[in-house]
Amino acid sequence: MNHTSGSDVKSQSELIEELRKRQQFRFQLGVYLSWLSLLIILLFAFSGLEAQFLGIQIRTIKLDFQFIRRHAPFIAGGIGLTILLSFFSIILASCLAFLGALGRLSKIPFVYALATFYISLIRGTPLLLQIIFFYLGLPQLGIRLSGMVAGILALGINYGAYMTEIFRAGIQSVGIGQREAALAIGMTQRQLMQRIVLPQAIRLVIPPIGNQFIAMLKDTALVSVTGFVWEILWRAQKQGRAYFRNLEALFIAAIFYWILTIIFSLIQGRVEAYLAKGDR
Amino acid sequence: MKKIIIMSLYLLFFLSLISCTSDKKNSHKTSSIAESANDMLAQIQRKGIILVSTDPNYEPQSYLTEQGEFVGFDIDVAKEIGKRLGVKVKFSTPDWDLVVAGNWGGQWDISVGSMAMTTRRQEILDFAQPPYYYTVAQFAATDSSGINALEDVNGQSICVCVSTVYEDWLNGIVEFPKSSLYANPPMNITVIPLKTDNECVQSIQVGREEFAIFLTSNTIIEAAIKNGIPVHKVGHPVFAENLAVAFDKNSFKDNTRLVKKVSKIIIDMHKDETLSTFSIKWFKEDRTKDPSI
Repeated sequence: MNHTSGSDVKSQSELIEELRKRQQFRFQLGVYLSWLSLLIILLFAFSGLEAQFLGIQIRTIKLDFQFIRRHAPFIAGGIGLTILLSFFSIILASCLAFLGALGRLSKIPFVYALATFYISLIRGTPLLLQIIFFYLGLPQLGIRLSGMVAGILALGINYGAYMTEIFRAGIQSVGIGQREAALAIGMTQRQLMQRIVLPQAIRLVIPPIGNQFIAMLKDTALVSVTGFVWEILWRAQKQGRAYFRNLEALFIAAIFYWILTIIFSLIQGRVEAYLAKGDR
Repeated sequence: MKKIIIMSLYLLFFLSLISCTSDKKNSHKTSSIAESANDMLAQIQRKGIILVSTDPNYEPQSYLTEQGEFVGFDIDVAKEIGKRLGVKVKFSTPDWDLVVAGNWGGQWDISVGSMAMTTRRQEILDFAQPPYYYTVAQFAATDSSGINALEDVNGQSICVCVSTVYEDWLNGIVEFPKSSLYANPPMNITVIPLKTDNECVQSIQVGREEFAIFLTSNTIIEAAIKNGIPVHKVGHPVFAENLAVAFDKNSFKDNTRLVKKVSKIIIDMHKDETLSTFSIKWFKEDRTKDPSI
């Protein structure tokens, strides 16, 4: 940049830059205003107001805000459990996905079969079914898991199958040249994995894991079906039913889920930006 | 090298699963050798805790306050049973269909959940005798439906909670003694089973029109009316329900002594009017007297 700002003359590149910035500012302003108006429309839809607009009767959903104020704290008590469930499940899922990816890349028939069998079985059945199955099926084998542990197992095993592909892509992203070079200087397979492949693969794998975590936050709601895990949706449904205010209770739960995903999306964006630094 | 590690990891994973199961089985076997250790009552007293299942969907039987505390008639009864057993009560919240399905797998010890005693349920569950209170089942209809008499119910769609005696009765399955039945099921009806009784009420509240009638216990209809839902009772009650404390017939531990002990406690609670007091506190009337006597 040349600092000729003392004179009024601006170089063409500076003018272009200014124009670009103006456009960008206008775009962002437009986005924020649109978000705000969409939010206002959404709030209006739940305001319970009735309006006459050009002769058309507009009805909105009426909510008992007193109920919401009174019961929101109890439902909020499930936020910690929802995050905890997602957190442990994603850790289990990552471990399984790593093993699954190694299995998918393995040259041993049995190991390859084991990995593909696992992926096929889990991806071929609904998550809700798996959660109920873990909860109902395992006690028959004499394994009695608490609702929480059964939930973590089911979610972890399910997500692990889907995340296998993420890990496989990460491992395969390390070029063959690097592998050959490592082997050429006498590294063992294990050293090759530890020193060459994994450090590079992990950087690629973490952002999609963040994505999966955000998806997981909402899928934890499925664990409420067993009735034992007092996460957000379970609490909302119980309070809603007992007081005949289901809609209000679900409204509260929806807000909490939404806020949670917004927060974790922001965090994930940061992490992604941080990890992408080295790429430039 | 890599392969060996992976293989051993897989092996470890499966072995750990298998060893988990065999561990449990072994301990189960050894406990059946020692007679006293196999007794459910002894185990509960040793642990000092009884796990009671409850479904906090229902005011005033069982629901959660804003602070998340269990309250209600069933809750008071359960706590009193715990007190008289000399143990602490912990509540567990499985879904209703899990409770009536039996095979609890030791996840909770007893159900104090307004469960109607029926012949079908007695095949998989044990019940404490006598029942701890009684309720009647009745139709309720929306105020705008114009349905006021039992005859009006014929040919209509009717909402019920799934896996309940209401659903069975509508489907023509009779599981009560004749003396408890006050009416025959209506004809040409469509039964709509939803997850809980409250879903029926809620559907009406939000203006859905799949049905205008639901069948449930009097207590639930009264709770709905109290909460401002525009419904009313239709005709007279259709049958009486004996609501009793339930136990898992297939529990790993022998529950004979526990059933006897709890039955004795229920008899005492009837005698010393504890149950009547609770009933008046929560239902504003005494519902603990057998209506068929």
